[in-house]
Amino acid sequence: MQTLEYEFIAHPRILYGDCSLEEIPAELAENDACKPLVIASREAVRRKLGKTLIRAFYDSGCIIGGIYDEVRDYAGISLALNAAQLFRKRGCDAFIALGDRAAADIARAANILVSHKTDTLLPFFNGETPSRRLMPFIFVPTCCTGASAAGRTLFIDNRRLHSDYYFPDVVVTDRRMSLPCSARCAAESAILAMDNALWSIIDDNQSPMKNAFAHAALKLIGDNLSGFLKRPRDGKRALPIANAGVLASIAAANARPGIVRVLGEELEKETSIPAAVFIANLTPAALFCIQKNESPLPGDLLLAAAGMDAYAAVPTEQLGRRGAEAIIEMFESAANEIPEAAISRIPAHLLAEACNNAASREMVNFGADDAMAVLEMARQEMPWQTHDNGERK
Amino acid sequence: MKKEIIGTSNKVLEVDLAARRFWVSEIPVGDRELYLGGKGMGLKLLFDRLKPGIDPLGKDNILVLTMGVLMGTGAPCSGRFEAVTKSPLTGIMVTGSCGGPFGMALKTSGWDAMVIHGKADEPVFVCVDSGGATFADAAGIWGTGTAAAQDTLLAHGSGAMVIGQAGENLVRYANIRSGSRFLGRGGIGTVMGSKNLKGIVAKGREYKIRPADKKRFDRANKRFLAHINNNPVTAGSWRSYGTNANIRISNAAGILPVRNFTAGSHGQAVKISGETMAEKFDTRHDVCKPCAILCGHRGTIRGEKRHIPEYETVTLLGSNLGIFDPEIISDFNELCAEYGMDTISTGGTIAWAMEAAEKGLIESDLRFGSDEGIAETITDIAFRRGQGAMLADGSRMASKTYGGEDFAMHVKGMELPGYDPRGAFGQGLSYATANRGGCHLSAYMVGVEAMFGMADPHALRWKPYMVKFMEDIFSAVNSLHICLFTAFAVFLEPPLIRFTPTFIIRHLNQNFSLLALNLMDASLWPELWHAVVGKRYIPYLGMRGFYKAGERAHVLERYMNIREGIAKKDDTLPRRLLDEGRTCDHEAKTVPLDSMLKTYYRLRGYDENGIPREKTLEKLGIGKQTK
Repeated sequence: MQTLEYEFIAHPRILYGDCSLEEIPAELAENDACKPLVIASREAVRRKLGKTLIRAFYDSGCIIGGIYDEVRDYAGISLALNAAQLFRKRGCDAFIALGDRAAADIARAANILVSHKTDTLLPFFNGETPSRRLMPFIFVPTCCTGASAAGRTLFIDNRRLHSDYYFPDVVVTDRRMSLPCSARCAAESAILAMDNALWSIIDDNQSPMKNAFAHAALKLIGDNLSGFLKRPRDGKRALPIANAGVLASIAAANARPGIVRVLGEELEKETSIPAAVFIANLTPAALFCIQKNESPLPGDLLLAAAGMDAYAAVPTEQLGRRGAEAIIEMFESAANEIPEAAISRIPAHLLAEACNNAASREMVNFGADDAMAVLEMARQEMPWQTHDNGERK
Repeated sequence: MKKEIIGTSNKVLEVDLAARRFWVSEIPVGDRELYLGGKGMGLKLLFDRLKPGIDPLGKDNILVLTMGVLMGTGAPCSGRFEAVTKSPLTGIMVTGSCGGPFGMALKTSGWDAMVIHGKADEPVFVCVDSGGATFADAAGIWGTGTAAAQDTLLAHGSGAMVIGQAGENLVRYANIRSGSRFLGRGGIGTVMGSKNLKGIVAKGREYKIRPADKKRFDRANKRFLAHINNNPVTAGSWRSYGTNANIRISNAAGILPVRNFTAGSHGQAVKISGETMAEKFDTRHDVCKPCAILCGHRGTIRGEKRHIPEYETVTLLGSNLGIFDPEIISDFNELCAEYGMDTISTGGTIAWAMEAAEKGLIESDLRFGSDEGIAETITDIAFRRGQGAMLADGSRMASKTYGGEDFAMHVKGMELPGYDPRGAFGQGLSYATANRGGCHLSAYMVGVEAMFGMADPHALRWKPYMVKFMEDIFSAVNSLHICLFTAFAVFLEPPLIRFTPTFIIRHLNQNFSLLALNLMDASLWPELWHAVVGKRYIPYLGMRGFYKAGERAHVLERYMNIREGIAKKDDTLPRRLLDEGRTCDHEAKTVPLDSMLKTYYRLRGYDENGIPREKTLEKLGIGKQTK
């Protein structure tokens, strides 16, 4: 009998349901905590989601130690230091991040500061990893884009720190906390989740658990994407996408980062255009490059993207290609919601710089030439134009 | 007897450093009409020659030097020239103005503009006279500071512009020295360094410049001088104390940057004020030529005759670092001058490093309020040594690598100057929309809002109208090329505004801005322009044409930036200004940018993404070939 060796870490407990918020006190108690500090995003504060959270704590024996509401769209050390200071001042013993990726990252960073009784993250930036378990950390994504922050990466001040200790202990997706979002935001969150799931499946390190998470994520997205894009303000439809985001980010945490994601993030850094825009445009090119290099795409991609019936109807040798087509179709339907005007011309030297930076990132298994090849492949497909001299704008 | 040029020669000296050759081209008459000279003409020359998307430090970048229409005519404050190129700091167009003697020397050598192409194999300097350009080996002066290099070059002519070690080492905000003045911002010196060009020297004094209509010119010029000499700013505070006369005003208005823009005023600000420095250093005038305002000063500091640091230097290398000792600030200023480095970007980047060190993002001993290590850091930046190599790329690049983007105080990559827009919202909008990045000279809104009290600094109504108006005017003034400081005299001295009580002006500005802006009398500038080129000046229409030329230059620059990837996403402010309040405010205030930006785009004829509409370009004649 063949044995399969693999590693898979899925630390967060996922609570999903209409009244899942009320489970938080019990989860805190299980982690020996009873006074959490809530790190809330600006939008969550504006929509008074903090009040809903407080109501969920009613008569539970737990109290909320404070709500830190200065989080904006950028996770910086300044905010983490302030949050850690508030945490100590109020004598809190756990973190609840309420909002998007920035809120989750501020909570993670503040958690390191208080757990290690320090006022600087410099040793961690220099490669140190947490030496012990951090304070209990519960993540309540309030928009579907936040859901992709449920992994093991802390992204603060443009630096990525990875550790299994950065996983949230609990992720709660509750309909009451789901903020209405725009079609663009809905598309971006779907793209990020699909990218996480897709590259987890393509990853060399095959693990049935990781694939199960990624498949479930793609299935949820496939079933709900079109309805969600049509009615992005409908919280009921946002919930499965948010859940897919959580599953996909856990799967991605157990895989190497995909070329498209890394390149998209580096291009975002160079141009200030959201990474999702690049991911949507580069994914077809990247899949094409893989096929061109005669590396077979996993056949069960089609199973995840199009379901059992479609999978069963396709001959084995065509599974990879048809799977890629189904995935590309999903990306395209999401990309349609992102106006092309958001893409401006990008000088060629910035593209080269982004490729070099992408190739020099930790844990990646591609070179700058591979990244450039994806960009070249996407040249015709991508909405940016070409200069007369052949340089990309 | 000297040969004469009537108005402008329209001759362009084009130099190819790689091939060490030159050729002459002509400025089309139509372009002269549309873009005047200076900034507008520089942009047009660059637009016609520069490929979009090139690397600013590559051989394909082009440096354009243009002279003003009024230069050499004897009009006060007209001895300025402009440099235009693609900035290595921001990756978009950068224009810079300088009052040093090089401009006059080049124009009196018979050239209205100079265009520098290619990259020399070895370090060179270029000597220019009326016959063209010659190329000389600069190996002997490569590695020297700006003062020594300039002295060497001046053996070959009457005006020179040179770079220091910062330019040679490709510090992204290196500047260019001419006399004791600097072409400061955006790394124009870096572009020279990337071309292995140490300096340019012009023989000068070969031609005499004469206005086409001398009589009308003299009449307008007399009125112009009278306005300058009557105005309390140009003939009063700035003449006595220089631009540092603004320190106490800024401090009182809460717009003085303190500790990386975390506060807007400070109890020790008086120590770095113009008044204090004038008394302490026994200051005397040290100015551009010809100048009637006399804002530049020099004095005795630490036993040496030194140029007194200007307002922006004092704020960015002083209060913004928590330093309130003018002698120490002067030391930093001298270092930057010697290495050829923009003091605003240097100060802004060091302030970022101080805050990043305090917050544990980088390892450094730099701390706010302490001068320890700053001089060494400036030197390290100039030579790209140690941590200086990282800081030499500016605060945007550093924060992208090391974090701290929320307190990297730049717009489009260019560090902010010495006015905190949380005390003047219009200035915030003008920072966000300025074409070259964080620039106070695109529209000096603090003057209207905080200094003269002509608009409520925290009101939003009509601010986009005022910003657009000021941008167009300043762009036109920089194209005519005369000192922007003359705006105080031109705008504030005509009887209508002089004798109208400020509260009425404020009321008009805030409630009937279109009317108020139309009543502004800026006729002196276009009158001088028309007299120099020999065109008949029709009141009002001539002024509208002048505004239009400014608008055209501004939108052309925007259009060129769009080709480099600029859009609405870049028309923003540092997060600190948008999200963080200050303790010096009665209640926390942040700049409400979005609401102003929408109206501004509409007024400019841009679409919702900040891109000029076809109709706008067509209306302004941008992109058309002129004869």
